[in-house]
Order: sequence, then C-alpha cells, then structure tokens
Amino acid sequence: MNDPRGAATDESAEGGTEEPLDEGLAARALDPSAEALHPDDDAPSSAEPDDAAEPPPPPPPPGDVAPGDLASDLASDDGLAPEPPPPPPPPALDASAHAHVLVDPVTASAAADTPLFDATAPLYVVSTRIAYPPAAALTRVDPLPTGAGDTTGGGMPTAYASTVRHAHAGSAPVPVGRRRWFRRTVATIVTLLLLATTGLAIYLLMSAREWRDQAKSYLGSSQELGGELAGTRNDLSGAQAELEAVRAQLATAQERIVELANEKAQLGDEWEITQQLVDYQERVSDAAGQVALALDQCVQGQQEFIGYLQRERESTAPTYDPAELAKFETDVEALCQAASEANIALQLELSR
Amino acid sequence: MRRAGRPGIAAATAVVVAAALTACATEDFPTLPGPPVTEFVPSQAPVVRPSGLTPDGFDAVQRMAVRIRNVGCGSLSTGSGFAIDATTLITNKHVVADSADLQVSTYDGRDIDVTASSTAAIADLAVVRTAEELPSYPELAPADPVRGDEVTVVGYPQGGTLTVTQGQVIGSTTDPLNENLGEVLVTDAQVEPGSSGSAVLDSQGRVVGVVYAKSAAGQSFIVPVSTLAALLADAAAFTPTATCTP
Repeated sequence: MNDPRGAATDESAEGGTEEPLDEGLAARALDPSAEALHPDDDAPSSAEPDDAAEPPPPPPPPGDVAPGDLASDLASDDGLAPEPPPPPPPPALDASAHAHVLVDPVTASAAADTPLFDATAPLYVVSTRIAYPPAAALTRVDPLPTGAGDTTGGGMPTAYASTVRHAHAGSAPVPVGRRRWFRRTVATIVTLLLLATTGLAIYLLMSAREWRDQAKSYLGSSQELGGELAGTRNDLSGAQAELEAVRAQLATAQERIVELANEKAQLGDEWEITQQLVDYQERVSDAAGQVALALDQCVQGQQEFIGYLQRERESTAPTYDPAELAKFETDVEALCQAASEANIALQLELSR
Repeated sequence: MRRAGRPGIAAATAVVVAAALTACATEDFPTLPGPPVTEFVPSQAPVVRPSGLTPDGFDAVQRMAVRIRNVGCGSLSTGSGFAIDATTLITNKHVVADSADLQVSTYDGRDIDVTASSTAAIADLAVVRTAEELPSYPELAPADPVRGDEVTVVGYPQGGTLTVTQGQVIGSTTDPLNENLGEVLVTDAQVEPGSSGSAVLDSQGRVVGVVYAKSAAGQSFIVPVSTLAALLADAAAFTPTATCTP
C-alpha cells in the first residue's frame, strides 16, 4: 500500500470490491461528465451544493501522497470512517480515464437507510496512476458493499445486487455471477490451452531432437557416400582415360588388321598370279622342248636325207627307190616346217 | 482498464493457441521423423543400352563385306560382295564369270571357302554360297532409295583395303551396259574397279542396292534392291556360273 500503483494492483487482485469504490468516488468527485451518465445517482447530486459551497483545498503534489492518506480514503469509501479527512482533489487529474460511477440499483431511500459513506464528502483518489495519459474511460456504478457474500475489501454483506457496467454509452450492466463464470471459463480455457501448448511444445522439442539426430545420421551417411562418390569418380576418370587409350589401341589394331588383311589379299593375288605365271612358264617350257625336239628331228631327217643322196651319188647303180627317196624328203621338209613354225610361235610367245 | 484487458488477453491467447493447435492439423506441421533410411543406392537394375559394339570393334558395315578373287584360266580379277545371310553372298555376275576358282576373304583376312555360285540372267547379280559362316549380314531395305537419299558404299576398290565411301542418289536411268532389266540407280559415290558387287546401304545400314559399274564422270551405277529382292524371291532366276576351260 506504500506504492500507489502497487496498491491499485493489490486492490484488483482482491476481487475488485474496493477499487470500484475508489474509482467510482473519484469519478463522481472529479468527472462531472461521468455523473451525467447516471441520473439515478441522487445522493452525490444532493451533495453538490456543499461541494460548491466549500471548494476543496488545493491538492498536494502527487509525490507528497502518504500511504496513510490513501488508507483513510479507502476507509471512508467503505463507510467505516464516518469522518474522513477531506484531502483536496488534484485539479490536474483526468478523471475520464479512471472514473467509475457507482450505480445503486436500490431506491434512494434504501440507500439513505444504510449510509455507508458520506456522499457529500469530497473524495479523492490519490494515486500516481492518475498522472498517466488517459485511457478508455470506464465508469463503474456499484453500491456499497459490493454484494452478498463478498466480504473482500472489508465490505459488509448486504442484500444489494451489484452491477457493473462500462461507462460507455449503450453498454448493458453485467452481473457479477456471470462475470465470475466468464472468468472461470476463460481461466479454464486458458489453462487447457496452456496445457495443450505445453504438450505441443514438448512434442515439438522431441520432434526437433529426433530430426536433429536423424539429420546427423544422414550427414554421416552423406559424407560416407560422398567419399565413395569421390572415389568412384576418380575410378571413372581413370577408367575413361584408360578407355580412351584402349579405343586408340583398338583403332590402331583395326587399321593394322585391315592392312594385314589387305596384305594377305595382295599376297594371295600375287601368289595366284605367280602360280599362273609358273603354269605359263611350264607350258612355254614344254612348248620350247617340243619345238627343240621338232627341230632336232628336222635336223636328223635332213641329215639322213643328205646321206641317202650321197650314197646314191657314189654308187653307179640306183641304191634307193627314187619315189621313196622323194617321199622321205617331203616328210623331212614337213617336219622341219612344223618345227620351224613351232619355234617361231615359241619365240613370239617368249617375246611377249 | 486492467480488468477490461484480462478477457481480451485471454481471448487473444486463446486465439493464438487455437491457431497454433489448428496449425498442428495442417500438412506443414512438423511430424516425427520416420525410420531412418539406410539404403541410399537405387536397387534398380542398370539399364543396358545398345552400344553397337561388335566382338572385334569393327562396324557391322565392315564385317559384312567380303573380297572376291576370281582366279580364271590364265587370268585373275577381284571384286566385292556382301553377305545377306550366314552363308550367302551377293556380288556381280561379271565378278564371278569365267572363273576357275572363287576365293572369298573377310574384312579381317579370313578365307571363306566357296561351295557354289550362280548368276542371274536379267541382271548383273550373282549369288555365292560359302562353306563357313560369314561374320555379319545386313537386312534388305523394303524399298529403293530416292533421289537425294544418302548412301554408303562398302567394298574393296582396286582390290585394295576395305573402304567405306559416302554418296547420294542423284537419279535413275536405264542400264547403259544393257545387262540389267529395268532401271538402275545413279549415285555420286566414288567407286573403282574392284568395287563391283559392293553393298550400297542407307542411313540405317540396310541394303538398298549393289554397285555394278561406273561412268567416266565418276558416277556409280547401282542395281536397286527391288531388283535384287525380286530375283532372290525367284528360285529360277539364278543359274550355275559357267567356269573357264584352260
């Protein structure tokens, strides 16, 4: 309660029965426009002439607010202190940002029967929060105490039905029970969602770990495969170079095979030609031999015929039959003619 | 103000958490990794692609060509030929005419014994049967080539080394030698004596004709494959080749 801002937080945590009171009172005291939203709030309006008759003293600076002053304000709000000290309201406050207006659902007479606070007394909210820039203006209208069974903040249980509504024009008042139900529902939903989110986070964490482990495994495998690939590429490069060399050798070998085949064919042709030449030479030799034999027979026949003629001349009487001798001469001449022709043919053949 | 903010904060928190939980149901929500993959090498069998490799590295075009030596009676001539099946050769009639002995050798110099030869009467074509199997043989094209088609001639020009030359069909004409019935093809592929009987192949390696002559202008004359196919289909089209008498 020493820190005005902290005090405001504490009040919110306690159930909100005191804070609306303070803010409502502050709004009623500081914000005339908030008052105009609640025509049923007669009590404050009745105190306006007193306030007008007695202008509040100048407010102390915000840094001079003592915790005791705030406590006394709260006590006066709760109606526990019938004579609260009237601290002067700060003139520079922006009540529109924090003012709440208490709305008393009961009649004014009932309110008069239970004077829980002096509506005529000027109330001030002493808090540094009011020095902040104005926010959405809310006006809270709530009787004192806040409601049956609600003893937080020191209020007395009453039969009043409390309502809280926003100060915005046209907003309907929301019952406290419904608000609690709404809060519990929201809390339950948020809790469930938080549990689900927690489970989701755990799941994602496990998933990330497993992905990380698997990524490490794959990285190792990829490195191993990369090594094998590099080795295979090296082997391939070597094999390609060797293949090129083998192809060059193959081309050379093919050329050599073709050359050898051609050489063999040419040799075969030459052999055939030589063979035919040999055959020809054999035939020529045979012919030459036959020519020579014919010439020899011609010579022998001519010599024999010459001998016949010499014996016929040396003898006084005819030795040979002239007819036979003439026939022999004709045969020798024919033989010599044939030998001569063969010799001429041979010479012609040899001369080719 | 703080009282009014609590439900708002709670609602905002609820919305955020609900959105997070909703995101869990989407496909992008991170799931736990499955069992680790241990086999990274594809198990599929390697695809065997035809490489066109032959047992000795020679092209099929070279492997099907043969060199024919005609040993006559006091004469010797050479020509070319090609296989159309394992033991059958196609060449020109004038390559095997008046022979005392026919000798066939392959691209790699192997000698193939000839068992018989026969010649066609209406075209300069001959069929030679061999005792051993020939290394390779192509298939016949279904139709004759047309003007502009690229052709390949493989043979033994001048009885020398195996030679593959390229050319193009430049037209068709009647046989200037009057040895072939019907029209013959004219190409600009360079041929020489000894190339007679060479196979003329199309771009797919199919036989589209047989070289049988050349002109002084360097044009080569080809018996079209349609004539060859027609004669092969007629069993009576070929008669045994007459041999020479020494």
